[in-house]
Amino acid sequence: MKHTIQPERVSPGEMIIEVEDLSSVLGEKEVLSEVSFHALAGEITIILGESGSGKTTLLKHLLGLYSSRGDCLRVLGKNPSSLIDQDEKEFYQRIGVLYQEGALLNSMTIGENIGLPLEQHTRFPGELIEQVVRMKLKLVHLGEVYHLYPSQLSGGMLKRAALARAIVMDPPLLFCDEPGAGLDPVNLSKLDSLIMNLKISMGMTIVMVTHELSSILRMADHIVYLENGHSIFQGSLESALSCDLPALKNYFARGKGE
Amino acid sequence: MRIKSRLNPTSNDTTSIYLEAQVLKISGSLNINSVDDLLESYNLVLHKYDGKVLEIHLDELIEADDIGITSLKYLLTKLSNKGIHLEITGANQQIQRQLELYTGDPEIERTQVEKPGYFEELGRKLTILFNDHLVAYLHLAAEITYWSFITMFIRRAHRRGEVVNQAVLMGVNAAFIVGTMSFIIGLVLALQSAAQLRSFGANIYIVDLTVIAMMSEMGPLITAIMVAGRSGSSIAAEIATMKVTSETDALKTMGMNPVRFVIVPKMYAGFLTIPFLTILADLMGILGGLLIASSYLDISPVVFINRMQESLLLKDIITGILKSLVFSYLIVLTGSYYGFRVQKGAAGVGKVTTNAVVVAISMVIVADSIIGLLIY
Repeated sequence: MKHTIQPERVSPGEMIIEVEDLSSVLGEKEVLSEVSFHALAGEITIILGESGSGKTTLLKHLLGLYSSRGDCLRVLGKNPSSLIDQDEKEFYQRIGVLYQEGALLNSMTIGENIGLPLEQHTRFPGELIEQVVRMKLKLVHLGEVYHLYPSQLSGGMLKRAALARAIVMDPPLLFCDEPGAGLDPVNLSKLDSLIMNLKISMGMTIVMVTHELSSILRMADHIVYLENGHSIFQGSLESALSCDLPALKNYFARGKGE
Repeated sequence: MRIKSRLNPTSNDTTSIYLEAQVLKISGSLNINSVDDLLESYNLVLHKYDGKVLEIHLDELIEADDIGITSLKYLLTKLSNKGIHLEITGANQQIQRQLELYTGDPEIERTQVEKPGYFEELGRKLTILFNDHLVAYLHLAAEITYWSFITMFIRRAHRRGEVVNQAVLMGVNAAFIVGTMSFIIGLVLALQSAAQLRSFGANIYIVDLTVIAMMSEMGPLITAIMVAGRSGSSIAAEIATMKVTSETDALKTMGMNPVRFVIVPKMYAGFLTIPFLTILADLMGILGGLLIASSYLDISPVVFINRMQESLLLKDIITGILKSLVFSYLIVLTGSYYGFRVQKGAAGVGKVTTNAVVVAISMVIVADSIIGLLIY
């Protein structure tokens, strides 16, 4: 049975993600160890760290793709990995995810991909779904790609189409996993502007994993730094830039090419 | 004594290796072309060297690339392992720097990995099979069964037209190959039996043999093996690719169950088409038998069909259909299971695809035996 979606809006400044002493063991390796941080509504939180520091694992915990202890993780007030049936469905309707490779379904056209969440979770007629999809495509500056397949798009267009799918349900919270990976500076800048617009015009909260220093400097409100599975820093971009922690200093210095 | 000397084809330098008393002199340039000479010089002469000290003179060594330096270090390590004290002199600044940069020592860095014993390895594999594979396989089986049942009562649980698409892929597109193979197998089965039956004067029993064998055994089995090869591999590869490219994660984070969205339509398509494919295989196999009976054993098609009506029991037909449904379930389940177990990378997709086909065919044969034992 379909249900009516009750969008629970979040107020700016409200704590939208709370992580307290989150540890994660994959196989025999402890990937995350007592990670703690928070993200506030209406802000862009960027998770930083060298490759292998546990960023993607942390993101998968936040998305409920890996299970976490009940009390150590709250996203939109809930632990996503403990949700089932209708609660799980409702939770995922309130978040959007932009995957590193786009993760559009290759067997479906761009239009069908973007309209899929609406088709599955609402009772909208087909014409309305198409209109919403076309509007979202316009929002991400993609023109006549509705009937094309993901394999027919360039890397930059694919990322923007994936962004359109991530925001098609107008979620209050958007996760981005290395959105700039593999993009040239022009396309990267376009994507950053689109993500910034989502924050400014829609008040969307964004949690992002990225290595692109230009994106970090352009967008970050809040920085979380992971080192070998430990969260060693969280704070504003300004405090991250002036922080004395060697790992963080080194990260920004190397990123600037010093 | 000059051990080796040759003109370097790339730089017009001559690489030479001399051994005189306690002095090994290497000159020219050391690169990929001269490495063989360096190693040969050890095998021919240097390994017999019995002095306590060896001076390595590199005064005339002009240049060396990475392979040349690595080989030189390799040679020096071999000599020093024989207890010879080496004194390297005369290396130019560049060569000196390269020698210092190279710190790798394959002889020392090679870590000894203790190989587990036969029974230890067997035990480890059995533990993985029962604790990991079997539990996960049964868990997926339960999930697929649950969603296949529930989805029958829910509208728009998957993409519109997806069941028909899958039915075309699994059933319609396989009809020609399944039909042809069954016809040939029916033909061969009858042909092999014909000579034996004729010598006993039991020509008419060719009908019983062909019909019963095809309807209750060969038809379902041939169909299942063909479908496991075609669709089992395709299901595993599709799901594995979706997993590698995060499409299954994307489905979950859009609030959709990947099992319900991706596998259930394939399960329905299998249930819808494989029984029909099996009936097609039965008929084509019988047709092959009829052809041999009429051409080798003088049994006319009319006699063949009349006898067929007498020998064919409803039980055989139902057994065949029942088997085809079980096989269909096993093929889709096994393909999906291996698809979800993929590790990262293209090689992972290839590996799970192969495993899916091998295990699906094995399970079909085991299931066939169990059903056979239960029914007869």
